[in-house]
Amino acid sequence: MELELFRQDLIQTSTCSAGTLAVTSLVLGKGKSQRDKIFVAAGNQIKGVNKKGKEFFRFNTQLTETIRRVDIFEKNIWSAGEYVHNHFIEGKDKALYLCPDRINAAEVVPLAGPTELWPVLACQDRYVRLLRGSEVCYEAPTPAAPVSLQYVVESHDPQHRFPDAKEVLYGTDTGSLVQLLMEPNSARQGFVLPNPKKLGAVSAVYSGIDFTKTGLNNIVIGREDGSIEVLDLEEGGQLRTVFSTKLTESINALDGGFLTGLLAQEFVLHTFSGKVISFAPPGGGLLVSNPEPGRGGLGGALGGQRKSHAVALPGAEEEERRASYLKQIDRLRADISVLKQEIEAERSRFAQRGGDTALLAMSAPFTVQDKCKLEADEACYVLSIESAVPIFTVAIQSNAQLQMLDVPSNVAILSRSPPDETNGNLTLATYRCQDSTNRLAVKFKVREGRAASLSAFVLPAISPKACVCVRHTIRPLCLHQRIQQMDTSRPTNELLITGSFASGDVHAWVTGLLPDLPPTLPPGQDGASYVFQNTLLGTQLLCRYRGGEARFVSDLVSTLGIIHEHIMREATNSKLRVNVSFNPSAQSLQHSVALVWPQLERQRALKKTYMMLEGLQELKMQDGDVSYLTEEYRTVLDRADKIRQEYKEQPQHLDHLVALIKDLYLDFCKLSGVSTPKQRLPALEQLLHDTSSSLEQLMEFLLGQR
Amino acid sequence: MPCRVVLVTGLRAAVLTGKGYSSDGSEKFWTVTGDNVSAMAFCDVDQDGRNELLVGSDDFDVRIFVGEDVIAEVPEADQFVALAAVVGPRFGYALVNGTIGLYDRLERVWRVKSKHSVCAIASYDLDGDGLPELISGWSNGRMEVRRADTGEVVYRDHLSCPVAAILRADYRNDGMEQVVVCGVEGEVRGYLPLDLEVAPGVAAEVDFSEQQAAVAELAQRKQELMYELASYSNMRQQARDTPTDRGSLIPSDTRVDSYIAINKEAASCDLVLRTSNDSSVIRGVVVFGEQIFDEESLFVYPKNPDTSLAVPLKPLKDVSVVLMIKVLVGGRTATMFHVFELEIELPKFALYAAVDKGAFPEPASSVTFSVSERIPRLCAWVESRFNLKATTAGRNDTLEAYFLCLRDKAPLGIKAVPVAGQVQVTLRTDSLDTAGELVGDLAAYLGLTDLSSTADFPAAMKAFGEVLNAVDEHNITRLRMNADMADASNAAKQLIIKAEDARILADMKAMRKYYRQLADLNRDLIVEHDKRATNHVALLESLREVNQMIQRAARLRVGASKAKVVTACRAAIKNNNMAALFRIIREGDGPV
Repeated sequence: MELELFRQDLIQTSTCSAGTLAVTSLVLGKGKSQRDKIFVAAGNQIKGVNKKGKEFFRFNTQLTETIRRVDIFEKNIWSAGEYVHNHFIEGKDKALYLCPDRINAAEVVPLAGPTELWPVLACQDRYVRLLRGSEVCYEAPTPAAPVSLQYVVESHDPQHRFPDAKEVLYGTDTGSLVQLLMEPNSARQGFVLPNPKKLGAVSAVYSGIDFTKTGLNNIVIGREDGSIEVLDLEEGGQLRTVFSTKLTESINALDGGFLTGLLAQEFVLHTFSGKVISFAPPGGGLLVSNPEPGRGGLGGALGGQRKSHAVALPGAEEEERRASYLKQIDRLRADISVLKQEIEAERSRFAQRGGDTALLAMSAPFTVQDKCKLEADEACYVLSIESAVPIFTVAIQSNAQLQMLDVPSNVAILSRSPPDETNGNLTLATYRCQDSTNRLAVKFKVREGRAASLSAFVLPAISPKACVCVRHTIRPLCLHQRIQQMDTSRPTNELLITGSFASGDVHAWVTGLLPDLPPTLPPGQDGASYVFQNTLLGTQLLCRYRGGEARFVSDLVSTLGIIHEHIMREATNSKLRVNVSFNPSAQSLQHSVALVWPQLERQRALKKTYMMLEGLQELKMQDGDVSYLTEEYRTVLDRADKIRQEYKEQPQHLDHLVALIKDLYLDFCKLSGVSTPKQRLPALEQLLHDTSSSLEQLMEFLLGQR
Repeated sequence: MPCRVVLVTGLRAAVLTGKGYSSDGSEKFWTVTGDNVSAMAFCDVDQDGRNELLVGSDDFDVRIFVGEDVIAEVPEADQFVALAAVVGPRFGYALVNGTIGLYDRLERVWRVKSKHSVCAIASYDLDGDGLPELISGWSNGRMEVRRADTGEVVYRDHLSCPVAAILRADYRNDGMEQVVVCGVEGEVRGYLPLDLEVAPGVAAEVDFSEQQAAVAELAQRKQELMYELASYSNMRQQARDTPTDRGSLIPSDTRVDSYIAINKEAASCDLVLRTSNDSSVIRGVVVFGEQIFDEESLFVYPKNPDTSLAVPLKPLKDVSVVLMIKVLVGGRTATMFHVFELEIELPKFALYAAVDKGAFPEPASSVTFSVSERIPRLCAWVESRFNLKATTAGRNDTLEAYFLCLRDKAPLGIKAVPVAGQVQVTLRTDSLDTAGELVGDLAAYLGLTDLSSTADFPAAMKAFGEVLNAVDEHNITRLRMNADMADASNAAKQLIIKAEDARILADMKAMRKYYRQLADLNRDLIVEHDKRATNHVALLESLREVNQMIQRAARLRVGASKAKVVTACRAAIKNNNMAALFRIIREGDGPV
């Protein structure tokens, strides 16, 4: 690591006591006289607290949503809830914007002068929106749903190409980081940090300290999987990781400043379970806790002295750091022994009163943060669970057949129970964690077609023992992902549904089918249009609907088959009559197969070379000189390591693709009303595995006599 | 002084037998153990200054041999991958299911399980503290060094491929031993013990990260304590505020009772759980237990939660296991559940249902032996090992009990009658294995060190006779085929000489002729070889059965009687005295 940073565990927030609302946002005022005022939002209230900890301001917004983010500039208050963004001036409504999808993060950016702040919203439907009053100035499309947003005062624009633009950094749920240079009328995308290692979503971004002394502030990102990176922007506009580390729990917030001393700035983060941890460059991060009264342990007076020490004796800082750590350990040990005594006292008091263990367990429900996300590249789902207390076991139950996959970073031991069909449980499994673990990722493959539910029961390792259950719905078209644009060049099939249904009905049907949709139609609209991509096959789906009519267009017939089935059932349930016209095309089958073909060809060629490799290497070992081999075989030998690597990464891939084409063929036969000759399947499989077969041959087979 | 090297092999081919050879190749030691031998090690487990032989076999047991006597058996949860002596009476073990652990004498000190499988274990003092660690190599390429006393990881490394073996040797000839870890794809890494004086800088840095880790760990611990403390204070507050969501709460005196019941229809024994009141229902149960599930746990999630729940258990073999049960209990509409933690011991013969006398025909085979014990003691044994509530049927002076094994529907009868101051016990079952299991367990329960018995298993002996015949036949075939093979290979040699002579004389026609003949002969040889190979496999299979029979016969006895059966059988087989062999198996004794 090029940058040396020292970790320092600072304080612990205790769990939120019952009866009070959780604080959802905490900021400093942005106005000149407000910089030392703290503003917090809890529920739908906003409070102001001054330096002495006295509440000097309280405002009830009367909103129905919980405020997720608040910003204060002089008399202006901006608040962002789940779908609504408000602007108040002196407590009066100034503007309101109802967002078409969930607001994940919000900021205010001085786009039109230092006192003219405009709200910027990062929304789940993959847009960053700039607001002016109640209007959207423009929407900037994002590559994935943005989940964090940070306005950076000092732009990362080394060439000063856009002096007027304001920089906003956003992190996405797929783990990438994007720079957006915003101007009042347009936005430009700057650098992008890709995520090749598939790390977690970027949950917090901070840029305010120049650790590397390059003249540009470093960018610090914190992820949902607990990893932290410090990035440096190079001359060429490339991002370089200069420091990275990993914590055991997700990072909720990041900031920076002079924290433990006045010598060096450090960045500080807040984790899911309430830990506050700082990272400081050499010279900082020394907790010398001989707090003089009133100094609050900042050790400011020591600052000057220490500096001279550090210059004179290079080992001195290390000594001091060690002492600081030791002191910290002592302090923690002391705290723990005090806590143990308190707990012992509580326990005996509890036992004396004949306490209610159930009540005890229920009174401290630990928080569990969970997320069930589609992993688009692998077409599988990852359920990540994070608990405030160590996990003993997570028990998984589903009424769908889930294929549990291995997650390398997991240390938990998977144990599958046999499916229990009489109780409708097709998947039952437990994950047992051994060491103190607060996080668990459960990865699984699931087939499209039927709606299913998934429950995870989290059993804690420490007492009192309560169990928290989290549930997720797996939608019939769960492997579909929202995209912005439809590729119009593809041959498609169409499913048209008409009838006397309202736009709300059809929206409810579609949200029951597909992930990633807002629960209600955007206000004032009678219909909507969404485009999806099948992450497994790359096929697309267009849904366009309004009251009385719904049109579904896809290049894959089986997708439409699933939609048809689902809507018919839903309509019958709500006693609505619908008419269906269905129009499959043979061309689309051809197209779908052609889409998968290159992958299949590559995979089976890879398998072939891999199988050959061993033999070739033996020849090489025996003969030494292998110049008599053909060019092809020699290159195989040269690329041996690479081939092995590739093969190792995706051993199941070929079988998977073969199964896919078989399914496609069966679906096509079913939906176009052909009685399926199952006896042709073995021949089809052979054809698919045979490395010499061509796409034409396959097509001939698929469309040939049945 | 003559040097005696004894080589000990556990042959997979001559399965079940352990053999010892001395340096001149003569056999010094022969015994049988429970099943295929998969791991062996020497370790001085009883600290008497002489090494014992530890043998891990596929029936999940480690047997500790002193000479031919088994002095102890240690049951584990799966097949063994390896055993390794660590230091003194300590030895490490590795199982197929990914568990590694360490025993001190016969007590397990620690164990850990991983989702990966372990490939090799060894021991060496890598951290330089004077005590050897247990080193393990894994299928994902991980190499771990764990402290022998706590199991704590002191060092970790990763190879790019699964580990094939871990060795220690002075590989560089510099007078210092290294630990060498080899991967299956040819990667080899050597490790030197950490010498604190050589690299102070490194040590200092390690020291530093350790402190950071210590702080983080303490912080975590503190947080957990604060959580517990907060739950107490929250509860006090809630008690004042009267909770609003009483729906998810269950009455404070709720208990969960558990017992094991036989379910004859499903051929299983059910773990039945029941809450003590109507308002709390069981939402689900997670049961952890070794050897009774396909994997380590069973999760039961009823569609309609009720106040009671039956978890069907079908142990694949007769083992006594402790079940760790987590019961999720809540109100009928709850989303949060209280976790009740229970432990229950599943009796060793839980899958045997008690039946009335005469309900099933009595098995024709039996094993009979006498013990100087009182009948009530035997009744107590039956009650503790079988899933019986009531006192065993029968009068005070005799014990008579009948069971049906739900696994294979085989009947079992236990009868004990006082005869001349002793109690004569008869176990009626057609299975030698079941009989052996019962005898072993009873002997352990009564603390018997020696027990001889009479075994009458006509059906099994008849089958055994056939096996012995098969061995003879295969042996004869083998000898005949060997002779044929020798002839054929001589013919081949001659043909090669003739062909080469013809080539030197440039008589191409003759050469071609000879080579053609050689090719034909070669083809014949290959065909012959296939036959021989098939015969060989069949022979080995039969031999395995013979060894298994000896083992079964031995298990009907305990202690010295047991060892005598093994040696006597071995001698009888060597002398090809089948009549004696049969008698030994029946009587437990015979001419040696």
